[in-house]
Amino acid sequence: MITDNDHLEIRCPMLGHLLNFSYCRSANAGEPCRKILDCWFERFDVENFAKEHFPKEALVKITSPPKPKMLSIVEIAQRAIAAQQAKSGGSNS
Amino acid sequence: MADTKFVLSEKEMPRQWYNLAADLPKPPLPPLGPDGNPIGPEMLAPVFPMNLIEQEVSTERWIDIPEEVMEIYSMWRPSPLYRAKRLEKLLGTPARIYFKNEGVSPAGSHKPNTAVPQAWYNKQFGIKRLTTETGAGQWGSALSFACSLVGLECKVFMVRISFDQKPFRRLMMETWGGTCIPSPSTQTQAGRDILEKMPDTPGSLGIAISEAVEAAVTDPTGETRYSLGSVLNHVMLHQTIIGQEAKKQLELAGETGPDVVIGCAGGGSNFAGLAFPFVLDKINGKEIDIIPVEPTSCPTMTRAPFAYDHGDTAKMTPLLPMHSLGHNFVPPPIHAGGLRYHGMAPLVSHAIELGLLSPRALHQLECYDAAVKFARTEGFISAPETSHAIAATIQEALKAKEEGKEKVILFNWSGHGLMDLKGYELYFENQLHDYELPQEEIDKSEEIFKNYPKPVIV
Repeated sequence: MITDNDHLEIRCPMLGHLLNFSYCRSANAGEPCRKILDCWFERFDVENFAKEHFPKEALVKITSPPKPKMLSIVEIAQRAIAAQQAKSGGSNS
Repeated sequence: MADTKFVLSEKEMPRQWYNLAADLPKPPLPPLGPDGNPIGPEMLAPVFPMNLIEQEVSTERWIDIPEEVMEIYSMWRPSPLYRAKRLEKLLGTPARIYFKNEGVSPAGSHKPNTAVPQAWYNKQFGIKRLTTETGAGQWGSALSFACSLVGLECKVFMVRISFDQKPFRRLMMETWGGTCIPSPSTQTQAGRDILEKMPDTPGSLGIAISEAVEAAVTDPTGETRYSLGSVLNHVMLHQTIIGQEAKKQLELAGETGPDVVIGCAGGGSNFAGLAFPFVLDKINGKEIDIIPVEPTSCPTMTRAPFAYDHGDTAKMTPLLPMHSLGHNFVPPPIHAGGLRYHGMAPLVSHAIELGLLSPRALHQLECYDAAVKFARTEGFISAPETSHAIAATIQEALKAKEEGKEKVILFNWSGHGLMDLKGYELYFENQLHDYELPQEEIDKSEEIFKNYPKPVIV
């Protein structure tokens, strides 16, 4: 079952405190954290778990290289500015 | 009696930060934007003030520390360098162990070394408030502290699960005048979108970053910017005051320099802060082992890198897939500016690629054992991350004992663990376990790594 490992605890290197596996498998709005394979590979067969329980799109995401930090910040900023402009009728004034 | 602490006066505090980018034998490639071209200042301008953007891309070797930043630094800097005599005695090592105590800052870690200049430069640029994200709250509290001294508002989006689990850090931020908001929140479109789909979500760092950046770039007054406490070049730059002080203090201690320099490396900033000034010495011919340390669980430096760029930044790069989800799952290509370790500062990644650093991974039990030994000899209770540096130091000290060598070992004691004692409780209750990497996984990693700096899995 997808909940079989939910009780396992780990120190999250990104948040800086203890968390259960249940968080890691659904951290990104229901999708797995991108570090789930790195963090849990020592504890149980997380790769097979992932293949069994995650959709292909999620597998591609967690096995893809993360974007460089600066690029992801720029993309977030551009998205937010575009959304704001769209909301205000496309005007930037 | 031999000295235990080596203390510089405030007048002896270094007056410039050191920029490693100026001295690397091969310059790091610039970060690439969504279009595959280098990210220009105009793309960063809505996010960061121009004076920090200039530092981010600077190749100047030395950058002056502003007088007002020096004044604030002087509240806890120069931080003391300690000789860990009691730990040496416990280990019976001929090595001389020194550690830089960055836990003396008001926020209890190295983080204010960059929080203060970031706040100051923003203030100079006319910015009125900063936004940021935080997990457990170490960075959020450091930035709240810095903003209170400089006179800026500070809004911290704290991941909801951390907000609920770490109330004391939240209270620290509020005590320093920061506004701490559980993320996702209703204050941003990114937060509202998530809450609409998942009202009970515990949040994530990704969502919190989205909220913090959005809150900065959509402020109609233009008086808000975003601040990040790790990874970026200007963050590494600000931290280099640690290593420069340590150089002067080792001289005070009568040492000609360290043989080994050690720091724990998550995003890379406390490691870089201590190590980069010594990387310069290594580039100039000194023999120094410089070791960034991380946990075997969640490694970023000691497993295979994700991507490698052959130098043609205009092209999509080939990948060395890191994970073994079968060869059917080949990750899509990305733009990559050189070797990249996920979540690690590009300058640290680049220095590994150039063979200047020797990353090492350690198991958590060894790290907690080291932290307890350190607490029972030197007195200080270490942050869990810092315990990795202590464990590697003990390994090196025991190696010196085996070899009969009087090595000088220097490590960065990056912060105290007084807000983070749960891990110690689990350690004392024997609830923590190490997990051995299967041989098949080690073989696979070694095959992928054969042309890269050799990882050390201890």
